Amino acid sequence: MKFGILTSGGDCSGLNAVIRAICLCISQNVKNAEIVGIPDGYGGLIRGECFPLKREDYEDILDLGGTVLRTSRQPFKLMTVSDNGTTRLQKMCENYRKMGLDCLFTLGGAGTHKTAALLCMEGCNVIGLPKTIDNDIYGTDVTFGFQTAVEVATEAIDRIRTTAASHSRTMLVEIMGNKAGWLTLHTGIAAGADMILIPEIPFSPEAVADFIVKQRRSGKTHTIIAVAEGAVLASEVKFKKSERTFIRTERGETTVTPHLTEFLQQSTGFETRASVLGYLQRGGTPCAYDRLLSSRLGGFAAKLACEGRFGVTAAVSGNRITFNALTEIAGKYKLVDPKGAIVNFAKSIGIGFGI
Amino acid sequence: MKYSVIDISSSSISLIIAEADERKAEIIFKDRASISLLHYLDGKKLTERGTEKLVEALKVMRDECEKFGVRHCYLISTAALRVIENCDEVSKIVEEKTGLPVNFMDGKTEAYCDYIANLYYASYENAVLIDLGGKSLEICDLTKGSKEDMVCLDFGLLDVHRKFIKKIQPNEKEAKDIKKFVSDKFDDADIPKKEVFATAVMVGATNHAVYDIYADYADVKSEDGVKSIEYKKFKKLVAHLLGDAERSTLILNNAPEKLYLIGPATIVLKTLFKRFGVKHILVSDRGVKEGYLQLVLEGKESGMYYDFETKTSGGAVRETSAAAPKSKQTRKAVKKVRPEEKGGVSEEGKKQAKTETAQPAAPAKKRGRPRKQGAVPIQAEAEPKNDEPAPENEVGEQ
Repeated sequence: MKFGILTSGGDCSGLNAVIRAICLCISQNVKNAEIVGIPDGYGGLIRGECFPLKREDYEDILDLGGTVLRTSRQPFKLMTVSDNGTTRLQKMCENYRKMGLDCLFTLGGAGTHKTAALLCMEGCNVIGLPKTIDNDIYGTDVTFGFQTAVEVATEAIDRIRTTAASHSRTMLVEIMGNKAGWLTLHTGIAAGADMILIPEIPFSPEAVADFIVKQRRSGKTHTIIAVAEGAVLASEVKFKKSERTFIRTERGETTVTPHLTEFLQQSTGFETRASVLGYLQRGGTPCAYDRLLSSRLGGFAAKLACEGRFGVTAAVSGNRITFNALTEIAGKYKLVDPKGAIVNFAKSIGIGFGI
Repeated sequence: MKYSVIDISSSSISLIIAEADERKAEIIFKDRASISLLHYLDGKKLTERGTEKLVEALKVMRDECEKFGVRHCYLISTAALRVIENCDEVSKIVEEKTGLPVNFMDGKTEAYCDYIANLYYASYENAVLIDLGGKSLEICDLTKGSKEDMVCLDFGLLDVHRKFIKKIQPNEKEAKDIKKFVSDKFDDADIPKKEVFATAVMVGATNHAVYDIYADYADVKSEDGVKSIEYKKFKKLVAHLLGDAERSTLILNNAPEKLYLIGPATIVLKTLFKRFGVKHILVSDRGVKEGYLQLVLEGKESGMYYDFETKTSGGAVRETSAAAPKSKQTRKAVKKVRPEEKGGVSEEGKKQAKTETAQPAAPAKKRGRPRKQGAVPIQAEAEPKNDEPAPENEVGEQ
C-alpha cells in the first residue's frame, strides 16, 4: 500500500509527532508499505510533488516543532475555481491517482478538513487528523497543538504579570483565536487573568472599565486581561465580518485590542498597555501532553487506514481516541458555549467577561 | 399534552415536538442532527463508535424533549437500523442509555405515514407523493386516497449506489445505467407513465436535501414558505452533479451527510418527473414523523414510548417491531399496502383533515441545518386547484 501525508494550514506543535507515529505504525504493521510526504500542504498535491519518507526522516522528530513536510494555506473557496480549464480540486484528484496513493493523511484544522471532505467526495481515500492551536474542530474534545499553545501563552502572561504588578498597570494580552476563544479561555484561567474577552461573548468596553475600577477600589494594584484576537465589541455584533474588518482597517487596526487599550487608558486613568503574543504561540517543541496525544492520534489514524476506514478523521471523545465522518464535521466549528461549564466556573471565581 | 417523535434515518436523526389537544397537534419545535451511519459500519454491523454517536445525538434530542415538557416520546426507525445485522444489540443499547424504546417501521407503514401527513396535497391536480429512502422508495398516488395505491419498492438509493456507482458520485455512464434500472423497476411495479400525474410532491429528508442543493444551485428562494422546483432547472442540476468541478462543494455546503444519496436521488427523481410528465414539483415539510404522530393520536398506530413523567417506557410494541430485527426475511420486489392491513382513511376523514390542517400555525423553532419552512403548491405552468397554504405545523386531527 502507498500512503501520503500532508500538513496544511498554520503550523503548530505536534505535527511532526503525528507524522512520526503514522510512519512508525505503518512501517510496523503493513508489509511493503510505501510512505510519501507531500510538501507545502495541498499546494504540493496540486503541483503533484511528493518524496519518500524514510525511517531516518521521521524517527527523531517527536519533539521537533513545526512540520518537516512544510505547509501552506490553500483557501477552500479557491479549490473549485477554474484556472485554465482545471480546478485545484481536479488537479489534486488527478495527482492523488498519478502518485498511486491508497490513502492520504491530511493534518490540519477546520479548513483542511473541509477540503479533505471534498477530496473524499471525489473518490480519494482520506483520513484527517485534528491539528490546531484554536481547538475549534467540531467533534473532538481536543486538538493537538492546543495544549502547547496554552502553556506558551500561560507562561507569557506569568511574565507579563510581574511587569503589570511592578508598574500597577492594566495589561491586555492578545492571544490567537479568530472564531473560537478556547485558547484565550484556557490560558486566561490557567494564568489567573482577571478578565477574559472571547469572540463568543461580545463585550462592552464600559463594562471592562467598570470592572477595572472596582478591582482597584478593592485594593488590587494591577489587572490582566486576556483578549482573543477575534474578540468583538457588543456594538460590532450587528456588522458582518467584512464590515467589521473595514471599520477596523479605517482605524488602522486589525483587532479590537488597540482600540480597547486606548479606551481603558482614557476612561480609567490607569496606565494601560497591550502585548500581542502572535506567532510565539505556534512554534516550538510540543509539551509532553501534545507529544502523547499526537502519537496516539497518529497511530490511531494509521490503524484506520490499515482497516480501510476512509473518509473519517481521528478525534478525542471522553478521553478515548476515536473517529468521526469527515462529512459530519466539515465546515463546522466547535465554539465556546457562553453558558457552558467552563465559562460558569470562570465566573464563579470572579473572572470577568466584559458584559 | 406534548408529544415528540424522533426518527432515525441512515444519514440523520430528526425530531418533532407537538402540542396536542383533542382535535389536532401543533408542531412547536423541530430539530435535525446529521449522523451518517454509513461511515460507522463494519460490514453490515454498526460499530461501537456508530452506536455511541447515535446515543449521543439521541440524548441531545431527549434533553430537548425534556426542556419542552414533552410527556410521551416515540422513537421510530425505518430501514436505517432495521437492515443492520446487530440491530437488536444496537436498539438494546439505545434503550439502556437513553430510555427510548425503538419502534421499527416497515416500508408499508412509512409510506402510509407519508400519505397521512400529506393528505393536504390530494387537493392538487393529480398529485403523487415521492419519498426516497436509503433502502426503499415510496410512491403514493394521492388522487385515489386509498392505501392500495401506495407503492413501496424494495430498493433504495443506497442499493442503487452500491450497484452502479464505482466512486462516490455517479458519472454519465452510471447515470444512464441507473435510469434504465429504475425505469425497469417502475415498469415492473406498474408505476403509471405520462398524463397520470400533474403534481409531484417530494417528501423526506433526502428530498429536502435535494431541494436545498437545487435552491443553492438555481439561486431560488422559497416564497411565502413555498418550495417548488422547475423541471428545466432541475435537469441542469442533474447534469451539473454528473461532472462539474463544483458539484462536491455544492453537496458539501448543503447536505454533506447525504454524500452517497444525492447523486442517485437526483437521477431517480429526474426519471420519475419525466415519466410522469409533471407540471408542478413541490416539496413538503411534512413526512413520516408527522404522519406517525397523527396515527398514534387517532389510535390507529401503536408504539412504545418513553414517558418523561414516570421515567418509564409504555405503550404497545408495534407488530412490525417484534419482527423488525429479523431483517433477513425476504421482501417482495413490490409491496402494495392493502387497506385491510391498516385502518384506511375515509373520504370524509380525508376532507376533514384537509379542512382542519389548512390553518397555518405558528412557525416551529428550528436548529441545525436550516430548513426552509412551508410547503405550498407552486406555480410552474398552470394554477393548482387549491392556493391555500399547506399546514406545515399541524398534525391532522382526532
